Amino acid sequence: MTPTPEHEFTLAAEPLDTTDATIIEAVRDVHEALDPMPGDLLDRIKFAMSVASLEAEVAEIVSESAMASVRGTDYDRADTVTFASDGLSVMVSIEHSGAARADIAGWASEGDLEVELRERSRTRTTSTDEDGRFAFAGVERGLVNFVLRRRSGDSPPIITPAIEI
Amino acid sequence: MHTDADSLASRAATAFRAFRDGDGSGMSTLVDEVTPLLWAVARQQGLAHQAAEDVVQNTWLKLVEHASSIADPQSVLKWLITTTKRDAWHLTARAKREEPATTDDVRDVEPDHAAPSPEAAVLAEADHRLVWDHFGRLPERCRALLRAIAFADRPDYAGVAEALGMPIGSIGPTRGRCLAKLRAALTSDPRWEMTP
Repeated sequence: MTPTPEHEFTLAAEPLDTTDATIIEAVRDVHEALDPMPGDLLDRIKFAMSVASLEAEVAEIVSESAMASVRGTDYDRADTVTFASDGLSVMVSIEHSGAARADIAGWASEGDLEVELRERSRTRTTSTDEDGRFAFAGVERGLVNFVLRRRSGDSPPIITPAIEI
Repeated sequence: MHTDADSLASRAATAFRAFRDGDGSGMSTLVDEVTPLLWAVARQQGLAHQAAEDVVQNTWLKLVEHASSIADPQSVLKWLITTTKRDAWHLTARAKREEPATTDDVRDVEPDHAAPSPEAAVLAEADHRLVWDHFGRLPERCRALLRAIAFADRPDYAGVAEALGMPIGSIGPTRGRCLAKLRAALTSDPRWEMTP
């Protein structure tokens, strides 16, 4: 049976019902399966938005290493990442203290910095000591960014690319 | 009964208002919720994968940039859709003008490896295959509308249609012609066995 234009016209004027909801859901499912967004698009958008809203400089990752486990357990390992931008370099090492958490110890090439840690669900801030050291304890596993601000002068904040903790 | 919280436009307004007042914590969720809709809009305008990504990302950057000039937070969802659609349109128009027959951009000639063939496992489900077939036979404007509203909530349908430049009454509160066409095609197909 071919739907007639009259039939279509009547149908069009009716309110939406559960059959429509099922059809719409199927349209969504089919497109999610056949033409999905790239998996990392959301993270890239959020990072670009952070950079834009902070008017920040983006630091580059200059070195990255995973140190071999010292005690041979899965969660007892440290990763070291070094970032650099605008004459400032920052090294962070990540100590995995358990399945869900990690501790971060950082060292910046200058003191007098405010360091912000952006975790998935929260943001916290600390300051470097005079030697440029800073630390965050109990960091949730997942992607994080750091935002560094010099306390003196009016240089733009520096944001690091996201790293996996 | 739908409440405000069921509407993507309202949730977008709340997150955007907070963002403008200096609390960006809701924006991450907003990006999660709205980007699939914007992706649908960009792709349905005919953009290749990479171009669609660029356009969608730029839409969000423009939101940050123009945050202070958006007078009504309630209109943020429409603003995002309109911006994506307009930029996608400009890009396809320019591509056609500059490169009528060939393309130099390697990204455009790359196969969309993320788009599997219709034989993919997902279409093993008969209902889905039917929906894909009949959806593909709809006029282009209907495909653009239905694919977009499929990524919004029901109270948003009329607003999404409006943002896409469709006439009032295209969808919501009534079914509208596009959905009526798809429904008629499906329900008159003997293979369609969905229980209403």
